[in-house]
Amino acid sequence: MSEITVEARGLTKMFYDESRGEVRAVDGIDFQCRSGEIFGLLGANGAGKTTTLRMLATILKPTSGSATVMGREVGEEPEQVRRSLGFYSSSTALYPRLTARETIEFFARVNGYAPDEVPGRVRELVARFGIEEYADARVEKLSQGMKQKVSIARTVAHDPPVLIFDEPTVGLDVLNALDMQRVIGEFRTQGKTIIFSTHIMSEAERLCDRIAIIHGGALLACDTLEGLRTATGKRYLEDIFVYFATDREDGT
Amino acid sequence: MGRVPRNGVAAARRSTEVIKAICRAEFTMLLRDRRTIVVSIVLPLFITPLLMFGSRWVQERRERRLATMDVRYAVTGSAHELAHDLIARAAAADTAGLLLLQTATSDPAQSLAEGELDLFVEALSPGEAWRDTTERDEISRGDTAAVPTLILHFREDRDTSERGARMLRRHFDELRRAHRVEMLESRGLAEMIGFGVVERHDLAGARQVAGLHIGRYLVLFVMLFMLSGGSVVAVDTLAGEKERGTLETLLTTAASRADIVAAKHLVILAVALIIAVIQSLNFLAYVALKLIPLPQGFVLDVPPEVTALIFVLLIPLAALVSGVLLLTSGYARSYKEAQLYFFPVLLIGIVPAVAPFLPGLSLRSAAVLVPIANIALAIKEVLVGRYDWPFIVAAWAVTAAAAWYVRRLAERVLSTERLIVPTVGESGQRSGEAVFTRRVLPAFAIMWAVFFIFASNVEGRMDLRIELLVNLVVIFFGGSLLLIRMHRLSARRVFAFRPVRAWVWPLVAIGAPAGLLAAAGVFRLASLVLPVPKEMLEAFGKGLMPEEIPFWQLVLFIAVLPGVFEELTFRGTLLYGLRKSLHPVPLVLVVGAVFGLFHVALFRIVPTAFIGIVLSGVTLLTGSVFPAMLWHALNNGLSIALGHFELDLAELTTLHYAGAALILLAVFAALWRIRTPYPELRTSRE
Amino acid sequence: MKSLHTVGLLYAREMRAALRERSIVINSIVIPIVLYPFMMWAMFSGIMFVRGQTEGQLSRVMVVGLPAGHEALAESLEARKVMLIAPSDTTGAAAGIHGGSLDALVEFSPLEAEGTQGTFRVRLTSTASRERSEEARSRVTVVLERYRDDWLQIQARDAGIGEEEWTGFRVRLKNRASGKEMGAFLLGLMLPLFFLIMTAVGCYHPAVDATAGERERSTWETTMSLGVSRASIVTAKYLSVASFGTMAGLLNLAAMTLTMGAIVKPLLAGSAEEIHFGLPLAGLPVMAVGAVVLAGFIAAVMMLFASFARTFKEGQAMITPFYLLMMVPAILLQQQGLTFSTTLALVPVANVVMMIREAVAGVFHWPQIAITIAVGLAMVAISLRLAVFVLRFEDVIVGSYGGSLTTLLKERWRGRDAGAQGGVR
Repeated sequence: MSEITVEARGLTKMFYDESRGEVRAVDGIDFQCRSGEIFGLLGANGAGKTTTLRMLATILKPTSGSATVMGREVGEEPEQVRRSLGFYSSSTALYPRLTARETIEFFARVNGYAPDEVPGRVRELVARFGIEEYADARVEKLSQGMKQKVSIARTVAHDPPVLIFDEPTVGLDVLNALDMQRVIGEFRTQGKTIIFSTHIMSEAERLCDRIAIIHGGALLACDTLEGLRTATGKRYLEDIFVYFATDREDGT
Repeated sequence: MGRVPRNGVAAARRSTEVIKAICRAEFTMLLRDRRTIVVSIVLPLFITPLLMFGSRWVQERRERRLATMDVRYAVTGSAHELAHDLIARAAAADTAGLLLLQTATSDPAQSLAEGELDLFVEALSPGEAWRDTTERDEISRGDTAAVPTLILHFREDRDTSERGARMLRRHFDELRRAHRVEMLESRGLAEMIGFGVVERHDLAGARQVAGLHIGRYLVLFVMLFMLSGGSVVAVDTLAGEKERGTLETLLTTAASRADIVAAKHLVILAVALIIAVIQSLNFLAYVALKLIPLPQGFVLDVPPEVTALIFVLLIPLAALVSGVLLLTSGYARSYKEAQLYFFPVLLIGIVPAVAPFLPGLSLRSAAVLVPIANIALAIKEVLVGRYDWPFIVAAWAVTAAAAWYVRRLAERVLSTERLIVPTVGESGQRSGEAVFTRRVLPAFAIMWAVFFIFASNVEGRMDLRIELLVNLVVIFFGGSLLLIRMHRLSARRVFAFRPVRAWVWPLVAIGAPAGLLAAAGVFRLASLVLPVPKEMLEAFGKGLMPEEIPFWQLVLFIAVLPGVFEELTFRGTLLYGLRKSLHPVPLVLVVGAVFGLFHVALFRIVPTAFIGIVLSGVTLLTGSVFPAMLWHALNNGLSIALGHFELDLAELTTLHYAGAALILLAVFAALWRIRTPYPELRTSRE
Repeated sequence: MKSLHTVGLLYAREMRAALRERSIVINSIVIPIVLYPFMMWAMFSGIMFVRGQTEGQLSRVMVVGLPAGHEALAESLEARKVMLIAPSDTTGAAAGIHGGSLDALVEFSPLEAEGTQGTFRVRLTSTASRERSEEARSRVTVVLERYRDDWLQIQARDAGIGEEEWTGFRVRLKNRASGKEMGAFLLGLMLPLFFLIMTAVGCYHPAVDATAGERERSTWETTMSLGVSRASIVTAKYLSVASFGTMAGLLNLAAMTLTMGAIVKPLLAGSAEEIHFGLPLAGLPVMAVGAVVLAGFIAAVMMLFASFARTFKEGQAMITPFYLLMMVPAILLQQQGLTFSTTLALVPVANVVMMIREAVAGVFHWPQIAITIAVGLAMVAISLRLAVFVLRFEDVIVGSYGGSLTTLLKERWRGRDAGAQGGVR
């Protein structure tokens, strides 16, 4: 069995909202991810997916519980944790006035890639994602698809063992979305751990090795697709999701 | 953020690497943002000379016009011959180009009013009555002699008239002086003319005088340049990045928050310094091109070592300014919001920079502990040639420490989740609780303006009682009710109408006198910094307690009503509105400060703010507005009683004040023991 | 009729949206009311404070060799808050004055001529590099001069010169401008400039928000695709921006007028006549018209520039140069004694400022006012025409152009088709 790279134990996050007061956005989530695995977080908007991932990326601090990435505690060694992960989401934008090449170089350096090897790494990524043509154009002039490639390249610029994709296909057209899925698949074959959140069932179905269903901040189920099917007796992920979600609401 | 165990050199090198990378990216982006550079840096460089050139042109035109001005005058009165004679001699003596034109008129006063005349001389023979005896005597001494009187009628609101009258008057005085010398000489008393002549000996060279003039303004201008120039990058660097979502990207990298803040701080610092230097050079260029005229004998001669010292002194200042800008930008969630904060920051930031304008304030005083002000004072002293080394070093260190502290705050902002993550945020409602929380401070700003405008226009013209009633009932209470209605709140909750434990009341009864005394102590402390003219205090006391109002009415209007309505407004509405957005300690301070600001006069702000803080504390600890009402009424009532019996708290000693402060503390400790806290206070860290 | 109704509806929507935007409410309503009164209050408080401090300060003056018979001089000095310090170390005095432990040194020495027993001349040492020393110098000088005058008069009397002859004549100054006229004069110096600034500030945010801001929020296309003519959309937007400008200008005018009295009063305390600040009733309509014309022009130009911008920030960058340039004529108008000539009436912005300055003082030059209004309306018409013209270009409407104004203009110059080629798409 491959090694455990990411682990969450009782991860909880409370928010303060000016009209609602204390809000429990994530409620004691536990899970483990391994290398070479795509771990999917499936949930509706506002279910707590992004908050969970942000806690893993140390942008947010857990109110209680803990998580480790590559054996390092998110609360204690945030820099080390971030060094070993790449975070991609639709809200993590690129600097509009840097060129594609500069962007990749910048993120490689900031993430602590050995300074002497940065130029080589940039060349390699530019070639691998087919950015050569527009590598020296400013990001603000690029099309959506081009930006997406640059974004992925900057996410893996420092070659991290763990990759987090937070709703990566939101706002992409079909071709770009498929492209994204292909790239994520490639990362798996390289032995990286990929945590992938989505609210699109088909995407989770197609891509994920294991799926965690999140609803109302709580982790309702976590298993392979087959496992979930057996547990619920449903065929389609939509139905499985609805099964858990309504079950939860009835319960509370 | 937890401490990262770092193994010395490697970590430091990594940190440098990261800071370098961020700085380089920031500068690349800044230089590519051509439009911003043009608008914020290049354009002002052209507009400034244009404005300076324009105002110089206007100034010169005015000078030219006034130098060759024709002053149309007329003479009336029985002593007109003397007047004509003097005017003729004045015209002959004048070298400045004063042209006096006698103008015929039947009614000089009318002609002056209509602008046909610039001035007229009313020449009265000895003993003739002046038409206007209320006129303030401008030559007040030694005038018992029965001599002719020349009254120069002019209009202060007209340039030529004013200038002409003053010049004429100077000439008249000069003529008289010359005549006196002649008289003394004719009596053989020529030697006496030398009596008491003052020979002036100025220790300051031209350089020091120039230094004083520059030293007053230098830091103020540099601050303005740095704040406005630095804000261009600052606004974009955190607030703009938040808006574009790139900050989140940056926060997911391995760069530590300290490194990010350090890098951005450096960028703002560099830009602020560059802009300050460019603007200063720009300024010097205009001086060299004579676009900015220098006063005569003004020697702009600062030796290189002094320039270097000034630059060294400016570095911690620049670091502090850029740190504050970074912090401001960090607090804002969008570009627009950051701009909104920028202006108040500018206003507050330049306040300490005016320290060199205060006469007699030297660096060797408590001022050395005030960041910015100490640098401004140090630079002024250095420019006039006083090198108080220990204090210069202390000033440098204090401002540098402040800069460092502000940077730590900025790091903390980057760890404040509410401020870095694009959350749901504002609910988008038009009214209601959440909106009220946001609107309450602007609403109080408007209330302040209304209050101030009303006060300044009725002062002294309206019965004090009516004025107080309008303030308390219409402006304060009415404003509060309006807010409550607009936001559909529950008045009972807003005004904190809640029952109180019985033990609170005796504590209030002990606390109020102690608070009054302690406030008097605070007032004494404050007047060390802001001395208050005694006449002002007396005038104020008289204005507040007119003798014709009976005592019971004084108690009603000055103690009871304010106790009720001011508490409802400040400890009710304001406190309620801010309770969720501020932690208890800042909450109490802010409510107190706003309460202080409503007591417009400068010298009252500090002591009333103190009382305001105390009252807010009482309200938070008891969860009800009633104890504060009683406390407030007692406080005001006691001070009326003191005034009535002509007792002055200012005559007490430090010991009394300290004792009062101790009692006050004890009362608060007791209130804390039996507290029923104000509900829904903000307690969590985030 | 129908289009008027549409414009009305659109206008109401614009106004409502703008009034809910915090930056607009603060910049166009709160700041005009509060800012300048507050700044002036702070400034005058500062002046009062400095003045009080200076007056309250003791001047430490070392006096050397005051001859007998002149003790009265010492008394008059002390009455002027001069603390006399007995001479100790005169050589150290210079250092003390420079360093700040002493403010001035007064050395008396006898006149050497014959028959001048009991007389003296004075050497006064101080430094112009410290305010406190300067204050000491001026106090000592005033006292000495008076003492000299009085003494000379006594000498003259002893020599047989009568008081009448010695005095000769008296001179008095009498300011015949009433408190109201002085008030109008002082207001006229400040109000027009602040009025101009505030009108511009009032237009600034709404103008950017209604154009670039809408684009940033991507509601621009929604608005442009409404089933109404583009002209009515532009008109409605324009009217709302102009309304904010007018409002800000008038609010500022009112706030300034109302607070001036309270702010300036303590500073003028002691002068003969109380200065009264008020606006003449007859001037109000002219001022209102001036506000509308000025806001109308500024709003039109700002919207014209801002409509090229794609983001709020860009919009600001587009408008700022105009905003700054507008201040130039305003500064020139600060000149006193400027007359409202027909030529001046032809200069936009400056003419309105001048008109308001005169209206504050209750002076009305009707032909110039008519020209001013005509010029203002013409400028508004031209700018609006331009704005509608600009909005005919598709890429401006869609907001898809490259973000460079010069490129856009070049493309128009060369012809429509070139439009699609700019930049990487």
